[in-house]
Parts: sequence; structure tokens; C-alpha cells
Amino acid sequence: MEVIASFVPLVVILPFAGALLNLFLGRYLSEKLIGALATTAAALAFAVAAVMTVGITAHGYEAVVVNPPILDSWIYIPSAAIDIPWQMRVDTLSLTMMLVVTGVGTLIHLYAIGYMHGDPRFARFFVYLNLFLGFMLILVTGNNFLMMFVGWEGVGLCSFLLIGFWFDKKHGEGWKNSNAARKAFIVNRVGDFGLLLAIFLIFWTYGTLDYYKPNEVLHIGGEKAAADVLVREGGDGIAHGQKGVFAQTEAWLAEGGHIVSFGVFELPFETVVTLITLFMLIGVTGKSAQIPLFVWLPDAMAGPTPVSALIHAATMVTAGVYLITRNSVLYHAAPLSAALVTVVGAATALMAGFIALGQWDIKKVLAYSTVSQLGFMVAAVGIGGYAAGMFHLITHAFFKALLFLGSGSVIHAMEHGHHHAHAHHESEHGEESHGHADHAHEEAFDPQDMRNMGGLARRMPITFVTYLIGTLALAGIFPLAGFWSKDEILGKAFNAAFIDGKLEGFAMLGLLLAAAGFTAFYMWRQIKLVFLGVPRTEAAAAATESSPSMTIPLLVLAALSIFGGALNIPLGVNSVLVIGVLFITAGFWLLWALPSVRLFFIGRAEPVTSLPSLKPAFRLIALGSAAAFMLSGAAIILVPSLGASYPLETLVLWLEHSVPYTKGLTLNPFLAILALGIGIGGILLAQRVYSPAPLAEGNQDVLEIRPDTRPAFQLANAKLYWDETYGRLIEQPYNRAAAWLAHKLDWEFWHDRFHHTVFRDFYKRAADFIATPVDRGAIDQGFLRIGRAVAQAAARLRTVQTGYVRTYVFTMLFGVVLVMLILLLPLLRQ
Amino acid sequence: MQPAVATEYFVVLSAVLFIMGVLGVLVRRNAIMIFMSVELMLNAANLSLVAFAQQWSNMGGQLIVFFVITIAAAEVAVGLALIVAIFRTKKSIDIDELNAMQG
Amino acid sequence: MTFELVLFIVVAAVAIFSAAFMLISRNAVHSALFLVVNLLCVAFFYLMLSAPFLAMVQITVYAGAIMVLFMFVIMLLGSERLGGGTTKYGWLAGGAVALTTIFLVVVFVGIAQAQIGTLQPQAPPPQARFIHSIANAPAVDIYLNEQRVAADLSFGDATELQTLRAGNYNLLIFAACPDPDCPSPFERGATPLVALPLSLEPERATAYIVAGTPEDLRLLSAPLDLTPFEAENTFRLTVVHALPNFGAVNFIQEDLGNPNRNVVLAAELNFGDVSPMLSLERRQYDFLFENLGNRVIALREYSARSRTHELLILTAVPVPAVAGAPSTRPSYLRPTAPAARHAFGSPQQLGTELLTTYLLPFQLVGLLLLATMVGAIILTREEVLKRERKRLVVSPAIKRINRAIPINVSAESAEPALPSGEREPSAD
Repeated sequence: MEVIASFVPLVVILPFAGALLNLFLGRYLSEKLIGALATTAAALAFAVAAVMTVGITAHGYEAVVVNPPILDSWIYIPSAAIDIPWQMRVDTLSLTMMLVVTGVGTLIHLYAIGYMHGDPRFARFFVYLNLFLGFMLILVTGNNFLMMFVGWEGVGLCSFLLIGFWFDKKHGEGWKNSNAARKAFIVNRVGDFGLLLAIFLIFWTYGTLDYYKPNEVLHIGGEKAAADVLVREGGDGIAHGQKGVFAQTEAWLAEGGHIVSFGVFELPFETVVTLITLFMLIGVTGKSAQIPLFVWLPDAMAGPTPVSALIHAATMVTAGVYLITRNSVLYHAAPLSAALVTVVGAATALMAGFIALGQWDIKKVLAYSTVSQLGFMVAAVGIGGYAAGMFHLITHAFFKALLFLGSGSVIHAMEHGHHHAHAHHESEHGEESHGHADHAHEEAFDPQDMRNMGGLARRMPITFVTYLIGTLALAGIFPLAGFWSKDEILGKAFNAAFIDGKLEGFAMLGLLLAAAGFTAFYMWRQIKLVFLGVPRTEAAAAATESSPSMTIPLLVLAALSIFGGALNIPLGVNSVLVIGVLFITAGFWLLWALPSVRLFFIGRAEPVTSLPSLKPAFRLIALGSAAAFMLSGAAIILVPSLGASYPLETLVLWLEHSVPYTKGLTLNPFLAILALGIGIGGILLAQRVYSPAPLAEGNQDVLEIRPDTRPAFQLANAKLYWDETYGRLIEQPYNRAAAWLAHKLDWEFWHDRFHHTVFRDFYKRAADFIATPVDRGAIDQGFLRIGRAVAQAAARLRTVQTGYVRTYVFTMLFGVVLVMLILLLPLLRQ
Repeated sequence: MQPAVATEYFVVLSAVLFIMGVLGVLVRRNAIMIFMSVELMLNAANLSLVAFAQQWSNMGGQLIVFFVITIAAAEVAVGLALIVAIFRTKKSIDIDELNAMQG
Repeated sequence: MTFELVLFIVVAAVAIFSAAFMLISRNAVHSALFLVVNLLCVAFFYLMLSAPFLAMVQITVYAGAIMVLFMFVIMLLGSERLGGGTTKYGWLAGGAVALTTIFLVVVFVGIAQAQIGTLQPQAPPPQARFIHSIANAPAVDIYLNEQRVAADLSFGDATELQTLRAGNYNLLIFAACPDPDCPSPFERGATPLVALPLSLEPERATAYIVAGTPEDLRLLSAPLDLTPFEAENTFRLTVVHALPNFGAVNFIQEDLGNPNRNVVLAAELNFGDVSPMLSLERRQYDFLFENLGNRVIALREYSARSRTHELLILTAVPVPAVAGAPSTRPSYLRPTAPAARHAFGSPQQLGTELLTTYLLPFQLVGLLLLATMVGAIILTREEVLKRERKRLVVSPAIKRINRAIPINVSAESAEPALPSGEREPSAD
């Protein structure tokens, strides 16, 4: 296993290598090559992660700590006994994250090749994407908090770079993108500050930042993790007496009464753990867009859609969930923080779901949906359902990425449709850059505004079907992936409320059920507005299906969204039934997907199920495979012995090996049906509300028209005035203070008054003083006098040169006599 | 060897002649007279040298005198040429009038 | 009161008075003549001080050439009647008298104190030469203490006359090392063949002869007399008996025509004896060494250069080895004779010194005289009127003016009408 695990540095190196290659060679390579390079890097990283997954499964799920080559100590201050190594950890949790990141990342890289086609900074985009991948992988593979923080900051940086990618958008629109990027970075920074405080506290308390020391064996967790973290004696002698953070926590909790000293005051250990987890929560709200630091995520939709899909749906925003999961030991020891985490998550889920109802931008709806689903995840890990949260993380990655990529496809089609539509009218605009929507003498056309769309189901069948699948998965419809993960979370809440009697469980349950309802509602609203009905603009009418590089990832993700639930079928479920149903679903899926793909490849964008128009051979293949799947599904259901051995709770069992206090769940059928009903109900409600036409006159939402729902709609449309509140509370005072400091204090006082008085006037006076009395008076006079004295002396001495030879001779004689006297003096004395 | 006349006598005589030469240089105003006094001084020195050479039985003294005589000749030649040249311009060789280098 | 002293006083008085008159006389020509008298007195003194050559030089050059030059210039300038007039520096005279009095006093006191008469010149250092006269003996190195004075001296070789320091030495004779890179025998640790004490006294020149047999090695010292010769055509001769195992010999000057007129110059010289110094006229001689009536060896037509000190060494020379016959036979060695010194102050000595020790100053003074000649000529030549040079570059403006106006306006740049050598303006 060690050998296999030693490949883990590759997982990090490959994306960075791809980034560097594209950075330096990007200008010489073609688009396809750049994209291929980047995608290959991501795909190879995924392959390595997959290999390691197989390896770790075969070797008993034991975690391995790997020291990457060359890089040794990250921070090494021997005098302070600080030695933080650059260590990577291969365990089930990090592998889960690695697989999700690289897998979804590869698909999105592939998508981006088509999406960013023609962009002048094509190579740079892929550099950033690979860079992001590399940093995210550092985040999840780190074995200590510092490496995680490096990845944390790195993904924040890449997020900034990618959100503001179109900072040079024409007609002065670029600044909006760069503003959004800056907002993301700064809000993240606030969260990072909290995380940093947590890390400092951890270091102060424990003296180390390692999760687990290399020679610690994490026993299979669950309830009994307290004494089960062993320290394997002997071996490599690394930090022999020192435990990793989590082991130390368990030890101190077990012995009880440990005091942490801060010099001037002391705190009991449990309080310190609570503080640490609370600070971590701040970081989580920043990165994972919870209340109150979620405001950057909707603005981040200014970036290209692949960015939104990758970073702001599938990977970066899940870093917070990963953080809490990794620190399950700490959160388990600090129930207060855990409760707060739960409440924050649940509240965020409902609030974001509410705001999504009133949004018009297709991506903003998805953004708030992401925030809402993140709230689900955060609430889940807060209540102790670490596996549930991770499960939802995985499935959400699938269908949210699918939804985002689908929206990208829609936006792309809208733009092209706009071009085609106006190609008849105008002929002078030849801009190729994405996002340009303004014509000087026309109204601005926003390709992302859902009010301009409509009827795209017929124009873009593949996109429509995959989007539909994503919507249904998100709404939690059986047997798609979202149903299982959402149900797991709700089940955990139910257990916490009714079995453990925790108050936050009740809150969580109620809020999340409501949020689920909202989710279904606004997603179906979106379907109605975008795909169903009739096109409301020429652009929508002229939209066409996107290229294969964009639709194939959609198809793959759709498949994953369908089957993702199989990752963690809860106990008590008749897995046979489920598997069978899934197989049947797969059959239907194939029945639709294959022909559509084929049709698209042969250049016809036909509505769904145009099987008869295909060649007989292909018809046979499609029908055959579909039938095969359906029949096997039926067989599994009807013949019990076939499907009985399908494992349940795969993910929980998988995560148990690296996340202490993970436990599984038995399905609560009541809750499941309730959740399913809420989902279907939401869809039906939305269907009813937004029929016959989704928009009322004047392009207003139906809810907006009705007086009883108008305030609510307007509140939702105004995003609950979060940004305005922040502006009033924070930005304005800050700006005023900054302005005051800049103008009043710095300029007027320091510059004008202080500098002028002290420096300039004083200097002038001093200079005048030195110049006139000192320089001219004393110094000049002095030197003049010296000069005159010299001249006078010279005048007097000059008279020695009489010009008369005789005087010279006399002088010589005088000298001679003198010398003689001196020489003969000894002689004369005798 | 012991000279017939003691060396001291020669030295005294040399000193007297030298003094007279010095006085001549200082007192006379005619440039040629001054030159001749200089010759007198040189001769006095030569005398002293030869006297000591004999006492010490060292040929060096005589050789020096040989060179001195030669150089005196050279000096006289140049000096008299100078005087002639000056006379042409100033029409006088009274050194009291030759004070153009007065500082 | 010896005669010389009286002479000295008289001539000194003449010198002083002539100097005084030279200073006082108003007429420059009289002054010059008095100076000539003074110079002649000084020449006389030179004669008294055994510097005859210098005396002649003094008269010839100083009195004869320099004073003549003076006369010329005095006549040329017509300055015999110059003199008189006020002087601005009257105090000079008084000051000069004062200074010169001090000078004289200092000199007198100095002379009185110095007691010049008691100062003795340094004695000249000793000189020595070494001669190897042992037949069938290997070449030797001779060391005095640690100083090598003879290197690789084979039979019959004689070193030059070397000037050494006076003192007591240990004479060491080593067998010569054939290898030129041999270290010194002291480093080799070789044992000397002979070690004798030797004392070198100053002012003596000696020839040391290594004589005898290898078993019975002796050092004979023959004094050389290199003092100046009074008579010119004579030379000195010393005979040394260095023939081992031989009886007494007589050294006879033969008259080939009349054997009765043979003169025994040195009688009964035994092995190791050195004859007294013989002074002989410079002509051809026939000498004979005789032992108990037997003729040992005869020298025919022996002649020597005058003023040298010759050395005749009777020794054995090797013969080619023949069985039964002795390996040596009697013969003589005659090393090159060193010349005696010249008399002090003689022209010869002066010449020798000038051309050996003082060669460089001699040549430089010659150059100086040359330079002086040239300088004097240049200084006294007639002034040549410089011709005006024409301006090389005439500005175009002036040219235009010149062309426009018929008359040459720019008179400053006009050149004197000189024939050839006119230079055209280089720039146009």
C-alpha cells in the first residue's frame, strides 16, 4: 500500500505540471492541445486517485502518510521545536475528496474546451483551472492544518483569478467582474482570518499541527473512537511522545481537567476546543458560503460557467464541509459549536432557498441553490452526520455541476442565437468575446436572463434532458442521487431531534424540510422559464444545441446523478429493489441518451425520442442496450438472490476508517416519503403557478403580480438586502473612515499642515539661517580672510626674491656657515 | 707617509682663499669679477682636496680635482656666454641692475 | 723650519696677496692677471703635494684656457672700466665680513681640534695568490676559513693576485671535486689535505706556493713587492726552490760567452727556500740552476717586462710514465708576473684610475663638455630676425573681402615678401 500511496504527490504535481506547461507553452499550442493538456492532467490525477482507492481497499483501508520527494520541512525552526513537514495523507476521506475533485474536474475541463472556444486568453484559463485543481488537492491531501490552509488560500486565489477572468469585458463591463472577484477574495479573507485563529489556537494548545502523527493508527471509529486512537510504539521515532491533534484531544478529554495556559490567563481544554471549532466555523462560513459570509457566491457567477460549476458548486465550496468532517473529533468534543454549525447551516439552507425563488438570472438561481445545498451539508456535519454530509457533497457535486454546465450550454446557445438573430439586422458587430451583450443603440441583451429564454427544450434536447435530470436529482426524486443523500441528512436530523432530543435537531429538521420544498419549487420554476413554453425572444428561438465537448460531460454527469445514490444506500432498504429500479432507470436513460447523442453527432437536433429517424443498426443498438438494462433490473427485483449481495452504506463504511464518530443510518420510510412528497409537491406547485405562461405581462413573475405574494417575491428578488445591509453596516463606515483618514488626516493634517509647517517652513528657516549669516557671514568671511592673509603673507614673502644675485649668494653663504656649524659642532665641542 | 708640510697648513690656506672668494662674490658688482671670485673659491677647494689626497694616499682626491677643473671650465664657458648674451640686451653687466626676477 | 715649509709660506703669501689684489683692483684685466698668478701658485702647491699631473692640468686648463676665455670676454665687453655707482645693499658688505669671520673662526677651531696630522690613512689590504706546484698531484680547492680563494687549481696553475682582508686564517686545501655541481667540502664533510694557519698582514702581497710531494705537502710564501719603482726599466725577481728531495741549488746569471762572468744571484737555496728579492735590469738573461756543480736546469733568453715582480719556481714536472724511470723531472714554473703600482700622483696612476674605477664619470663629464660647448655657442650667437609667419588658415569672410576689394585690406595677415617657403592656406 505504501508503494501505491507514494504516488499521491503525483496527484498534486500533475495539475501543477499541466498549469506550468500551459503557462509557458500556451502561446505556441492550439486550443485543442491546451485543453487536451489540461484535461489529461486532471484525468491522470483522477486515475492515480482511483488506483489509490483500489489499493487502499485492498489493504484494509489503513491510512498512509506520505512525505513527498524533495519537499521536506515546510516550516522548520529547531530552536522553537517547530517542525511542520510537508506531509500528505492518503485515507478514505481524502481519497473521497480527491476522486470528486479530479473526476468532476476532468469533466469540467473537457466542457471548458468547448465553452471557452475563441477566448483570447484561452490558455490562461486552463492554467488557472489546473492551478485550482492542484491547490484543492493540496487542501484535501494535507496531513496537517498548515497544508490544508495552503490549499485553502490557494483555491481562494484561483477563485479570484477565475471569477475575474473577463475583467476586460467590453463596453466598460469588465469592472463588474473584477469587483465580484475582489468581493469573493475579501469575504473569503474574513473567513480565512477565523480559520487562522483556529490554527493558531491549535498550535498553541497542541504544539503540533498534524492531524495524526505517522505512527498513529486510527482504529475504526464510530462511537468508540475515544480510546481507539493508538500510538504504535517503535518504528520511526517521529514525535514519539507527541500525539497528533486528534489523538491528543481524545487523550486529554479522556483524562479530563487539562488546562491550557495562555500566559496571562488559563482556560479549560474543553473551552479551548469550543473556541477552536467556533473559529473554524467562521472559516467554513466564508469558504462554504454560509450565513453571514455567503454574499460572494452569487456575485461569483460573473465568472465563466465552467468556473461556477467547478469551484462554486462542486469543489471549493465543499472545502468547509471537508474541514468540519476532518475535525470530527473536535466538533464531537464541542457540542455547542456543533449545534451552532447545525443552526447556521439549516438557516442558510432555508434563506438561500427563499432568495432563489425571486431571481431572474439563470446562474444566480443555481448559485443560491448551491448556498442552500451547502447549508444542508453543513447542517448535516454539524449534527454529527459526517458521512451524510459527505454523501450529499458527492451527489451535489454531480447534479449541481450538471446544472451549471447545462446552464452554460443554455447561455452559450442564447448568445449564439442572439448573434444569428442580429446577423440579419446588423452587420458591423463582429465581437467574438463571450459576454458581450450590449449594442450601443439597442437595449442590453442579457443571455443569462431567464426572461429572454423559453422553449429551449425543443431547440436543445440533450441539454434539456440532462438539466431535467439534474433538477429532479436536486429536488430529491426517487431513485435519483439527490433523494438518497437528502434523505440521509433529514434522517440524521430526525434522529437527533426525536431520538437524541437535541433542540438543534428540531430546528434543522423543520428548516431543511422547508428548504427542500423551496428547492423543488424554484428549480421547476427555472425549468418552466427556460425550457418549457415558447421562446420569448429571437435569441431563444435561434438557439442551437451545443458542441459534443459540452454535451458529453452533461451526459456523464447525468448518469452519475442517476446512479450516485448507489454509493450509500441506507440500512433497512431493500437494496435489491433499489438496484433493480436503478437498472430500469438506466435502461430508460439509455433509450433516450444514445439516440440523442447519435442524432447530435449526425447533425440533427431533434426532439426527444426520435428513434424512428435513426438507421436500423443504431436503432437496434439503442433498443437492445436499453432492453438489456431494463430486463436485468426486472430480474434483480424478481430474483432475490441476484441482488442480495449489494452492499449497503458503502460510503459510511468507507468513511468510517478515517472519520471518527461516523455512523450510519437506518432508513426512516416515513421521513423518506415525506421528503419525496415535499419534493413532488414543490414541483407540482410550481407547475401550477407558472402555467399557462411563466411570465405575466410586462415580463414580471407570476408571483410578483399577485399582491399577497408580491412582497415576498420582491424580498427574494432583492436577495433579502444582504448586500445593502453589509454596505450600510460595514462598507459605508469603512469608506467614510478611510476617506476621513485619507483626506483629513493624511492630506490636510499631515501633508498640508504638518509637512508644510514642520518640514518646509522649518527647513526654509534653517536653510536661510545657514545660508546667510552662517554661510555668507562666517564661512565666507573666514575663507576670505584666509585668502587675504595668504595674499599678504605672499606679498611680504615675495620681497625675499630681490632679484639681486648678491643677496642670494649671501643667503647661501649664511646657509653654508650654518650647516658647517652644525656638522662640526661635535668636533668643536671637544 | 708624512708630508713635508703638514696638511693643516694647506687646509688653512684653502679656507683663507675661499673666504676671499666669498667676499669677492658678495661685494663686487661686476659680473665677471664675481665669476673670477667663484674660480678662486673652486681653486681653494681643489687645494684642500689635493692636500688630503696626499695625506691619505688616496687617488680619489686628485681625481675629483681633475673633474672639478673640467667642470669649472664648462661652467665658465656657459657663464661667460650668458654674460655676453645679457650684455647684448642690457648693455650692462652690473648685477645690481639685473633684478628682473624680483618677486 | 724645513725648506719646504719656507717655500710654502712664501708661495702662500704670494697667493693670498694676489687674491686680495684681484678683489680690490678696479680694472678687470688687472684682476684677471692677478687671478692667473693665484692659479700658478696653486699649481705650485699641487707639485708640492705630489700631484704633478694635476699641476700641469691646472696650468694648461685653468690658467691657460679659462683665464684666456675670461680675458676675451672682458675685452669684448669693454668692462675694464666698469665699477662704482651706488649699491642698494650696502649692508651686504658688513654682513659678508661678519659671516666670513665666523667661517674662518670655525675652520681654525675645527682644524685645531681635528688634529689632522694624526690621522693616518688606512693601510692597504693584503694581496695573495696561490700557485700549485706539486707534480702528479690532483687539482685542489683552497679555502681560507670558509672562503674559497682557489678553485680547481691544477699543477702549474696560479691564481690572480686577490685582495683579501687582513687577519688570521685557517688555510684548507681540499682535493678538487671534478663535478661542477659539487657542494662545498664543508657540506661534504671532506677532510682537508692540508690545514695550516695563515696570517695575512695589511700592505703585503704574497704568493703562496703549494709545494712538495703529496705526502709531504708544504706551503711556501714568497713575498711580492709591488711598490712603485723608482727606476723605470727594472724588474724584480724572486726564486723559489720547490723541488722536493733535491739538494741545495744556486741560481746563477750566466754569461754564455764568458763563464767566468757568471753571477750567483742566489746561493744555497734549499728545498723550501725563497730567495731574496732581486732587482734586475730589463734585458735578456740566461739563468742557470746548479746543484753541486751539476746543471739542473737552464733558462735561455729570459726577459721580463719592466716594473713587474717575476717569480721563478724550481719544481718537478711530470713525465710520461716509463717503467723503471722516475715520473718527474726538474723544471721551472714561471707564473705571470703582476705589475707594480704606480707612484702616487703620477700620470700613470691617474690614467689608470680614470679609465678603470672612474670611467663612467669620465665619460659623463665628456658629454657635459659637449653639451656646454653647444650651449655656449647657442647662447652667444647673433639674434636672427624672425620672419613673420603667414596665417595658415584664412577665414572665408576675409577671403571674400579680399576678392571683392582689389586692395588687400587685411594687412595683419600680410606676409613679408620672402621668396621660397611660402605656404598656401590649407583650407579654402
